[in-house]
Amino acid sequence: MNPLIDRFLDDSLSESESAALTAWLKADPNHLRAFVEANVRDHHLRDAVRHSAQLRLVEKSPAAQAPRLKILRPAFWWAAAAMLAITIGAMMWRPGVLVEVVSSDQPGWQAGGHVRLRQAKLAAGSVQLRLTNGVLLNLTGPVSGVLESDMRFRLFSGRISADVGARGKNFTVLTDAGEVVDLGTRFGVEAERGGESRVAVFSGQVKVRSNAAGDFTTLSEGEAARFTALAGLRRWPQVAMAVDAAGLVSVPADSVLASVHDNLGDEQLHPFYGVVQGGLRSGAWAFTDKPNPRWALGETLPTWLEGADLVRTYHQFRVQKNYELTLTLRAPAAVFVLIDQRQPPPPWLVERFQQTGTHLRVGPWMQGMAGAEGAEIDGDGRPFLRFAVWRADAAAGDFVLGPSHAGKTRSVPFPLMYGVAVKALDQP
Amino acid sequence: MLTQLQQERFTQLWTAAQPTVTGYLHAVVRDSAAAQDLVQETALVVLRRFAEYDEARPFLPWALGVAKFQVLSFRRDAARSLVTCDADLFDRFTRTWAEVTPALSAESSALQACLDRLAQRARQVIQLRYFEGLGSEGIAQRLGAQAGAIRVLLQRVREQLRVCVERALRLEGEAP
Repeated sequence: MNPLIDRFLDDSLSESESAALTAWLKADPNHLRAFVEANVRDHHLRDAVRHSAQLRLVEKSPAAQAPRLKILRPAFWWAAAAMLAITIGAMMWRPGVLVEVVSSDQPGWQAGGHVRLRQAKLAAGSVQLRLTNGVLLNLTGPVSGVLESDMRFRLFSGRISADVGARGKNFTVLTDAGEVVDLGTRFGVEAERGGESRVAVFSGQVKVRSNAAGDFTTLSEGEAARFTALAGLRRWPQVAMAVDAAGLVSVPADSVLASVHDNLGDEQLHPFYGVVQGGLRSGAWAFTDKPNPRWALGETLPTWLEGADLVRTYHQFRVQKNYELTLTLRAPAAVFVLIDQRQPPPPWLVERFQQTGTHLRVGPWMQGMAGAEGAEIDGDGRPFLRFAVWRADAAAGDFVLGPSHAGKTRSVPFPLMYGVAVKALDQP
Repeated sequence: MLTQLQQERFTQLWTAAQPTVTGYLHAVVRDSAAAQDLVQETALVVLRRFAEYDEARPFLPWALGVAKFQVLSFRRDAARSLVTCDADLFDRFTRTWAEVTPALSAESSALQACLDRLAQRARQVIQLRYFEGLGSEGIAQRLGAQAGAIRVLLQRVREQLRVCVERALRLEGEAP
């Protein structure tokens, strides 16, 4: 066998070796066949090794000791099943921790009712529960886990969001990959059985530890990370978020926006971009790392803008000089940039976008902003600012935005981060 | 919306094809997390477009065609690889994958027994490579060895497993 194939399988090809292998593959169909066979065998090997290792992990987890807990299907399968509205199961309740059902779309589970919950398995839909210590849990199907106490939830797979009050501090979500300890916050965790887990912080802070590393890492509002039992934390740059609440949803496959990423690298960085399909509505949260500012709070959005897919940007990137934000579009789309009207527009915006003439009210901001130029104060004394809406029509593929401000300016001592929304050109 | 019959048919076909599609996507993007994202997206697109699927044609090449499109529409820098950098090569790679996989499917059942026969050191290296996802450098650091020696060992183990599987299948074929 060509030794370059082994180098490819080891991910250790140099650029020149990569070019040589490409040329070799194109030279003869038998070469390509040998290459594919080696890759297929490599996949078989990976599957066999992971299967053995995951069996060992599952054997160690309480799920394996719980005879009534079925092993569910992989996450994408559940998403497909949910989309088809096929109910593949129902919630299984056993004596356990006392919880109040706050809201539910599950038949037979009425808001205000109390149940004792231990094993929770939800094939589709969602349920919100309040524990006796005030912790609010949102379970979004498909999800499977065990509420071990009013301070611990063991998540086998699926997605859970928690809003933890003062008494719920140190509430812990355990997964096969590690643990997430709340420090007084709202956060979401999603986990794959025996595989990767991901955590996003919507407000406050959490501590995260992968089973691979002994030390906790603290994540703050607007930060997210992915981790496995055998590898440390990595950046989770794009988080699909619910429209109405700070919660996780499955990644929408039919959104015009395929992905969002910046050029700041993954090392030592955990900020995330929240992608909310159809999320630009009156009152939508503007940023992932600021709890208050909302778009068009108390105002009506123009129809051409309302319902666009919203990218909740990371406000602290407002001062990054060589910042680039790349949107990958699945189809031609109108890209909207919502930017503080007081700031001189950056050159990339002027060159490629046009002003729509629409200005959105954004806020409330911190009280210190009340004296800023152009601030509007509402009846409760809260400051708001006006953001101008710029538009560019973009083709499918990558579309790159630049830094938020054109440079230092005396008129605006605190430059603000822009917002982004995207609407397919064929969308009404 | 698919009919009940179509839903059942989809379930049957996708369950059979999904491991092959997963292997294909991993080979193309060489990143487990990205491959997993793409498998999910592919599953949903296949489901959504299932009504267009012509039952007279084999399902796997069609599903791989959808997966290929998902790679192309995926974040471009993440999806760029040796295979995707040339459109014609990517196309032929996809077709060959559909042809080769069924022929090699029997090998996977024999593989587990061959893995169990590996020497302790080889098993450890395989575990670090395929479960922990470490490269040769990472494995070498973990074991206090030279990266070059790890690469050679991995190459030998793959060959050893291939020969073992081949022998096992031959013996199976000879059994009464």
